[in-house]
Amino acid sequence: MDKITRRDALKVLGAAGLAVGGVSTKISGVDKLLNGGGLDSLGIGMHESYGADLIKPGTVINSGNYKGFPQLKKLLPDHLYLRLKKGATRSDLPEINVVPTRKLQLSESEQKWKDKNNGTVTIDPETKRLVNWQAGVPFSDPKNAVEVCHNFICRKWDADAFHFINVTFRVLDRLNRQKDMGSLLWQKPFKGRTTIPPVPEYPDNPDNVLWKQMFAFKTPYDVAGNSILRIRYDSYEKEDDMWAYIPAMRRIRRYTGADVQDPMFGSDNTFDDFAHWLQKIDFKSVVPTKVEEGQLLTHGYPDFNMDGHNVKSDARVLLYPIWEIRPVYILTVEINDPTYMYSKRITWIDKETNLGLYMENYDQKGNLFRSWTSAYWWTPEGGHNWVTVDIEDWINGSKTYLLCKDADYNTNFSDKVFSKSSLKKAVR
Amino acid sequence: MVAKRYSRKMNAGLILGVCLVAFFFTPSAAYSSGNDEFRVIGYLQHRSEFGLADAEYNPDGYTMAEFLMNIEINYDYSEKLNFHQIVRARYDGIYDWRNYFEDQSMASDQLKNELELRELYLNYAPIEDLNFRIGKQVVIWGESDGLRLMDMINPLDTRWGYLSRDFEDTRTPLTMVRVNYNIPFLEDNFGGLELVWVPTQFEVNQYPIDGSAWAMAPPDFFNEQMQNLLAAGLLPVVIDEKREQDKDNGQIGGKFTINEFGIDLSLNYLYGYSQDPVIYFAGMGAAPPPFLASYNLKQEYPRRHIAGLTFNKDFGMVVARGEFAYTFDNQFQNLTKPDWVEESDYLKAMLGFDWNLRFPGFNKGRTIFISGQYFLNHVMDHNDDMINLPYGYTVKEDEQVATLLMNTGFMSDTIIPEIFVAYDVSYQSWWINPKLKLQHGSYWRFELGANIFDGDGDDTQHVPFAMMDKADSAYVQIRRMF
Repeated sequence: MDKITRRDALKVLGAAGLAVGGVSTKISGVDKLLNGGGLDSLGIGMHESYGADLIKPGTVINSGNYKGFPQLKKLLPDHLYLRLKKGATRSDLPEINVVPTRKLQLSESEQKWKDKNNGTVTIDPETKRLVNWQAGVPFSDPKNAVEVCHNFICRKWDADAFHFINVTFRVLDRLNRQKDMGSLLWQKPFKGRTTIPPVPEYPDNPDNVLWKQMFAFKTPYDVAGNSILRIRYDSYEKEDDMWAYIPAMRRIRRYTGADVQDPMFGSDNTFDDFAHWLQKIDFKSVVPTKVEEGQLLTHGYPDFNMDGHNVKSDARVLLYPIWEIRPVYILTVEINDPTYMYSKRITWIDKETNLGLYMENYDQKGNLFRSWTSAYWWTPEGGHNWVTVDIEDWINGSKTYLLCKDADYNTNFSDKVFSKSSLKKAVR
Repeated sequence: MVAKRYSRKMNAGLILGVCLVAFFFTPSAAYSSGNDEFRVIGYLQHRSEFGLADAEYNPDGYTMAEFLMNIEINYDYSEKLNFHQIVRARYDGIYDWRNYFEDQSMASDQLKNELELRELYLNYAPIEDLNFRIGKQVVIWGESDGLRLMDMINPLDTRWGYLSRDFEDTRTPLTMVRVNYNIPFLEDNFGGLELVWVPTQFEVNQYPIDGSAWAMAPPDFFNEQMQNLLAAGLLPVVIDEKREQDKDNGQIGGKFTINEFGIDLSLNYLYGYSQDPVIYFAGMGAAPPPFLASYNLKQEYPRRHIAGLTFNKDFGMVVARGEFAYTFDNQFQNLTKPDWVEESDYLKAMLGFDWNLRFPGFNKGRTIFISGQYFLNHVMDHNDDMINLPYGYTVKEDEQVATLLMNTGFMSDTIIPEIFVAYDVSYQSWWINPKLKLQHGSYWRFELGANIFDGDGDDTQHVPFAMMDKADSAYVQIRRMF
């Protein structure tokens, strides 16, 4: 499927009986899932009784009964588990409705590339770079941390072209004061493309660009018009190029390597954390060192309709409707740079989709600094994108939600979006 | 008189009340049509300033009670065409509230009320690589913060303060045509051309007015000259020869930008006019008794050519940047010359850096932004008698200024302390601008700050920065955005 917009996904969902609407519709969707009857009708198969030996589908877990499920400690990272205890952290987890684990299939084109790569892609033992890779997930059955890491990096985490029309940064500071910032995002990979021509790579790409990203804030007034252009090069040695347009100064400023570690306009999201992580992994100073297989109880794939309950003006807690037990790789990446904000990232990566579901970032002293909990929409055809991200700063006590409402997925747009002149007119 | 003043105070109080109500009942969110084609954003703002030093030409105590409304409207008619508009309304209640300011008629006339269509332009992009921006707008060139080198297209309006105001608020928008063209064969290097044409509008820099909060010491040299002329029986006559607003007095400029070897480069050229006046001696004439003759002076704004180069390059955690502007035949005031004017080429240069510094254990996860700049102004054919207008201090062959800006954010950037220091190495004078920015939620912003000027030496009144010693002030600002 070449073009899947989020609206298309909602239509599919609606046709299957999970109508688009508000909270009540969401609950009806959950009911279907709890009864085990909704997913097959969507064309999404289930992993039968995967994880049912740990927690049965239909189970409802809350702060009052979670201690009766000792297996939760195995299924939840420590800090996520801690949030089950009422008042133990500043953002309690809402009620967990456990549903059967679903089978999430890749899109036809992604699957094609994955099959093609199977057995043909290798890793250069010296540089750790991929050999014979053009696009898609390189390893069907990764054997070590480096292979899992490559799968994670190469996952087609967005699309061959996508445009977020509305991403709200909801920042809750230490005093729980809420600040909302509206933003736009455009992104396009120039290599590793699987669906929209040119596939798998732009033919004329002299600078070896891997992807380009344009980010712009549109509200409130004091950040409106701020826009940032980032260009990632395939070379491990070449740093990203970044420019920012600052409307109050009417000037484009160059961003440094430190800017990518600073919180974006007071949020808990940094440019290097975006989309789970955008920090460049060079396998020298940033090295995957360990991988384990495990299971994660996650809300990573809620029903598609998040609009009704996510972006309420007073929402300080996201109401995740569906939790399921997913098979994951738990990947540890160590950062051997004492000046970097983190010393280590641990990421829970879905085995089936290669998407990051949960991530913990540790500071240079080894303390948990920030955690990322992600949720994606997923169509039966394998179309997917972000719905929400829940970022917790465990040291400073602040919190940020990224609430993604509308996105055009694989709807091609001009490459001219990624120019310095576009910075000035991205919003204002 | 007393009744009139009382009535004015009532008016000021009424407006204050209305503004306060507006602050709290302004819709929380910006207006936006469903598909974002039509957007309205802006803010209401109150700013109170307090003078910290008493002088003959401006008072201490409460010196500004300003209410400002700024509304920005954007309308996207199509992908190729959109419109942008900024309207600003201002009321400074101090001219009704405080007796001293009521008596400053010139300041009151100009500064008490303002309703201005700040910007009104359309963007039209007939093809992807070409964009026309036509209408009243602001164009800022260069890499420097605070001081202007190549940024000479729009004049400054500093009647309400200079750097203590938002950068964009101190520019006087001009009606112009700006054309941006991305050069297709240089697309990968962001090669682009920008052409700016101000066809007719002629505006000059506006400085603080006598009797206002930011009034400066008058230039003594000029007053002395006038007194000397009068003592000699000559009547000085000054004619301000502002240029006509016609096609012969416009500005035209171009900028070429490219990224090569990781360096952002720009080459700039502007054919404009001096935005500050130069006074020419225009000969003697007849004068009424008891004067022997008139001593005619013309205040002109000479044409000038400026060529410039800017660059920036990132080195990991640090960005280096620079800017050079070369003015051909710049006209300096020199009262020893027959026509009071002397020409020389004039070089202005800036080298600076932006550095995000991380202190282990301090303000976890947030860097301290440090930006330093070093400015050098060099007069190619210098003369010790050259004088700077309008400030009236002696122009040195090399004038050097260093600036330092530091800020960081605490608690999700709800608390942002910032300090800006400018030190004039040549005149040993300085300006310190500490401020504390506070945020509450999505829509409320607060700012507390001070502007302190001082200098060493005997004659600090007529050197950069220190000349504003008597304008030392503290301020508080509340902004409600929508």
